[in-house]
Amino acid sequence: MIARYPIVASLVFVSLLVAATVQMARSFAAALERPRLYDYFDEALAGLPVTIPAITWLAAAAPLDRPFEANDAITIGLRLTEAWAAHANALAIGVIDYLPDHFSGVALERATLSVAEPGARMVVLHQIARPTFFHTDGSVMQVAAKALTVRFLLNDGQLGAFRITIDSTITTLLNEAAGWRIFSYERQAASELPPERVHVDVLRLRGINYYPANAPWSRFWPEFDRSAVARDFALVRSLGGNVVRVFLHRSAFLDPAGAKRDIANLKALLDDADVAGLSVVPTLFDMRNGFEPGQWANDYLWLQNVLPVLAAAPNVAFVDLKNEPNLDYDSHGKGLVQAWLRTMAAVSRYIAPDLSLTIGWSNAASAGDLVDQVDIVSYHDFLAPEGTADRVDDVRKVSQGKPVYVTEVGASSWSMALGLPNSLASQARALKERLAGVAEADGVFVWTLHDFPDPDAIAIGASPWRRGLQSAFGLIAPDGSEKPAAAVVRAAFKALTRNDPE
Amino acid sequence: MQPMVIFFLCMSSPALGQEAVCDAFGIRAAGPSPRENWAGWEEKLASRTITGSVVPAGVGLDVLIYLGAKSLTAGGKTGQVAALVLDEYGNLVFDGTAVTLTTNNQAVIRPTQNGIAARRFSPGTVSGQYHAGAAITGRQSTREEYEVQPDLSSMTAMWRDDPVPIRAEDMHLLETLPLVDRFGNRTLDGVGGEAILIHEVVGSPAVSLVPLVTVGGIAQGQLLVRDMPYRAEAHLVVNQQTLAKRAVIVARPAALGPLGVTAVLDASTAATQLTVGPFLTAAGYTLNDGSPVTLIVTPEGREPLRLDAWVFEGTAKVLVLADSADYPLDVEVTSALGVVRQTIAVPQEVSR
Repeated sequence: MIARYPIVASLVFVSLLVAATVQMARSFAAALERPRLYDYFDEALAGLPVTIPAITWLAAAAPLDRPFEANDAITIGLRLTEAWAAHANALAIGVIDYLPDHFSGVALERATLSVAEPGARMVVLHQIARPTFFHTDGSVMQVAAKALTVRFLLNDGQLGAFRITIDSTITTLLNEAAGWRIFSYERQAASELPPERVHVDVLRLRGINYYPANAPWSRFWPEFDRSAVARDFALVRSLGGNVVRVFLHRSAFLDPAGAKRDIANLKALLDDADVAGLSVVPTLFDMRNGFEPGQWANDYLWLQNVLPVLAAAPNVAFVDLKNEPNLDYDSHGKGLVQAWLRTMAAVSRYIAPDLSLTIGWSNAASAGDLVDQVDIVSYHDFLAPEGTADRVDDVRKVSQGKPVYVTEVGASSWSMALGLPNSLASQARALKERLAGVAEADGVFVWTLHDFPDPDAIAIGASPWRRGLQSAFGLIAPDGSEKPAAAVVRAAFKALTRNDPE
Repeated sequence: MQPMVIFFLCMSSPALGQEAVCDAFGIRAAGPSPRENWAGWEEKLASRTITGSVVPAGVGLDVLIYLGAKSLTAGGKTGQVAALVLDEYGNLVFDGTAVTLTTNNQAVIRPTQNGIAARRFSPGTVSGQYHAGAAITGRQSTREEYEVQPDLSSMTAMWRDDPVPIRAEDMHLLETLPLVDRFGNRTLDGVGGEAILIHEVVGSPAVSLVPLVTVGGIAQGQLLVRDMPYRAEAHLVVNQQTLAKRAVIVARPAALGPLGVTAVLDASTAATQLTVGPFLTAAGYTLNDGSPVTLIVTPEGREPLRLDAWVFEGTAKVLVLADSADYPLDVEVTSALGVVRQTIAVPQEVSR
């Protein structure tokens, strides 16, 4: 029988082999994600986020009846921050149980009523506050503030209305048995944030997405190795690149314990890139999980820490607000994700008006989203190479005349066996075709400089298939040698250089 | 309340299509809502325009009063009374709303700013309970109480009685004349103080404390001088200040008369039972049971014997090996009533 139908037998055998392999891969992935027992809660939980006061105090304009001491500023600043985080959370989940911990009297009635509005969200991102009244016995306080506040309505998961303003507010607090609570909160006026930039210089960029070989993804900033980064930047330059796209983690730059070190490392990275003749595209909020409004005030503080550093560097080409946020649409809701993006874009301009902004969409189809909110349109292209040029054209049509960059293209050389599913040669071929297809874009960034033999499961998951692919997108092999794709990129970058303006 | 559009603005940021209203506590879909009554800035978002307006506050309806400190010192730091004035919807009333703030029947009118009118007030010089209140036209706050206490830092006082010997057997009432501050305010009931008794003991000064409590302005404390040295100086201390001093002279207990010592000889055991007492004081009391008594008995021609005993039901008894040949016995008795010496020539014989 087998001898009579060898082709059929071979097909059956291959099918069974593939099925067995897939099943083994799934079992392996499941084994990696199996339940684990912990002895203590704090081993299993990441810990509650640290509350950092989202408030900047100004001195009272006139003497107060009671001196407003530094300790009062800390205590009341924290209470205000926690109150508005609690309000944002109450709006997000529709539960008002915790509002009385932070609001009383008129404010509690109004906060409770506001939660009843379907789809309504509000976040007080930051306040610049000045005490205006402080009772001699410390029982009553009134604060005038400029409150950076975002409000939006979600309608069936879509963004129905959105507004971000700097509100002039009056907050009346009472010091009660449970501590300070907001008794009254009134909005007296509101002003606009700066509008988006109207002109952006078009830079011709040929770049590499960058993580160090030994410390990719979540290990990058905690294990920052300046000498390794400097060597890699020289390598990027030798490939003909003129820009690197790097990733700034949400977990870094915020924690008071480590932010100072991380900021210093960021400055060093920017300096070293400048020395190597490279521009930098920092991608913000990398590995930020979730979009809970209660955490947006911390996002604002994060931007306050990071953006001034980027704005001061001469070689920041533009800033990518978020990597592939459209992939979060299904899990978090398109409206919520877009509200967060609009908010971060607006406050980024508020903090650093001269930095150009983009959003790194995961595909060309999403690149038309929020075009009015960015200065530069960027997307990633990992679809079939043959449609690459058409997709650049399509994005150009929706870009409203703004520069278009393809900030991630790449191919894996991962091979399970016998050059399947990929090989060094197939990687080089795919990259060559892809890079030719993006010639009409204003710039292209290859993913990535290095292979990562042990990709970060936090970033890409535990699937062996995905881990295999992600381990071999690099132009440089783990032994430091150039893969054939490196020569392709070098040649393509050289060819793209001809398009540069004189 | 109808919003009063006093400012119209066409802003550059487009809305996203859904008509909505932004106010202090968030955003809501356009349409009737109790939130229309919230005073302050609100914006109506339409498809292409944003209209901003101010909803004015109404006239005051609720007057909340915050008074502190609730306990002031006569002639001391000022207190503060503040009124938070809200309209019928809970909005802070418009600036300049006149509020009458009253403390100790003295009314002062202050204008509101962001809903708050406040004034500082002096506690005055007369201690006591006072009332405060706040009122706007047709409405008033609840009544608040505050207290003005005497100025303890300026308190003066003297001991009431002259130093006379204090009998050890009695509880003695240490008492002051009324304690008054510089304004003549008597100290409040319950104010504590103490009398520090510094005893005259050569070589090793000793101190006793007598807690004092003020009632009707007079500080009082019970003193029992039993076992205290003969003299002491009592310092009256209130609010950590020594206000007066006086001498305390201790009248030690004295025996009512000669102390009897009876000797009963039991010839069969060649032992003598000595009975000392009764230990009667001049005040008519016997020494307490257990009060120590020491006897030094010296039989004829022998070394003195030291014997310890205790008072029981007014007398102390000891048994001493003393036969008839040991007489006369010299007996020295030391007790709280002093030292008594006696010679017993002939004992009584025990009867069988």
